[in-house]
Amino acid sequence: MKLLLIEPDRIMAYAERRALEVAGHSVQWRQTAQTGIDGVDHELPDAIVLEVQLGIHNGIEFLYELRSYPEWQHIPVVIYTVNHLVFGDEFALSLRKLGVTAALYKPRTSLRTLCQTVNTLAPIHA
Amino acid sequence: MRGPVDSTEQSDRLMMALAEQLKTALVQIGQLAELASDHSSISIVATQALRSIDAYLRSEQQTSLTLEPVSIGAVLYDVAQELSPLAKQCGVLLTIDESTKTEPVMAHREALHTMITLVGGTLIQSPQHLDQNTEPARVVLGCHRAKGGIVVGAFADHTQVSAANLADTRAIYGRAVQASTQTGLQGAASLVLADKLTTQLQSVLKAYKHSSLHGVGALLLPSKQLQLLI
Repeated sequence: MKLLLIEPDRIMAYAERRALEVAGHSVQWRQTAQTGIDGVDHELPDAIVLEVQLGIHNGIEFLYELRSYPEWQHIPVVIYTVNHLVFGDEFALSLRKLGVTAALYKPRTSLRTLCQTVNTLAPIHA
Repeated sequence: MRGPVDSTEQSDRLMMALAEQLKTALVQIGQLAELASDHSSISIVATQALRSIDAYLRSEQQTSLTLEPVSIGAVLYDVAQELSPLAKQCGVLLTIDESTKTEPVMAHREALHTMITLVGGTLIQSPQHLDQNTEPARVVLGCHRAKGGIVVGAFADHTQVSAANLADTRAIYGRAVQASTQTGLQGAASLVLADKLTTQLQSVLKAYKHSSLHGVGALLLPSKQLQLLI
């Protein structure tokens, strides 16, 4: 699958990208919400792996912008984050509304589990 | 207009920021170790440190917890899954005692999970078992009925956590560099964190006996709502 990885941390991006590539995916990496939108525009991904704790505009803002475009509303998004607040009850409804397929907490999720989660997503276009 | 920030508050904030930074570094270490296929040591150590820092950050950020019916069995199973690499690394036999069937208890699932993980991790890493050359030390995650509710916790055959140990740990908290006077409890800071989380669960962390084992746990109330349905 063609994946867009939005991850501000270089070291984590390196590890996550490597793991996803070894799992057979091609990965386009962006570091901010804005460059993430540019990335989707540049090459439509089959799925997005998103760290919500981003500089300037956070991942939730990215999701609102992404879903505002009709042609990008069905791209599966996997949240993979160090921010545990996203897993609180107050965010659950928003994440569902924003079409988040899965939310994984980095401190408790191995790269292997990330890859397994991504592997279960069907590509939206061949 | 913001009021002045006192030095204690400033120090707490710095500690929180530092803990966040350490958490990120430990995630990086864990990921790089996983990439290098080195699950046996670096990942386990990083995961253990990460667990404590994460629990600290959560306990500082959470003001009140909403208690709801929680299945003890499911939580114990998840904790056992999480702690099994550490137990393997330490040569400890980690099991779940499923002999007591209980109804759900009133708790906050995430906080209960973290509390048992911290206590279990402390017992697993407790060094007394090194003296035992015959059989591997045993740590059991379990629950039993007690007066006033259901005790949930972690118990071991190789270390004796007593009420006095816990009282010591509470007494020197914030006053001494070492979190416990008991050399046997290396992860005593984790016990302090577990204590704090248990308070948020509206209970108290106490030393309990579970069959022939000694350990630490919390007395939780059964869910009355579900009792009415049965």
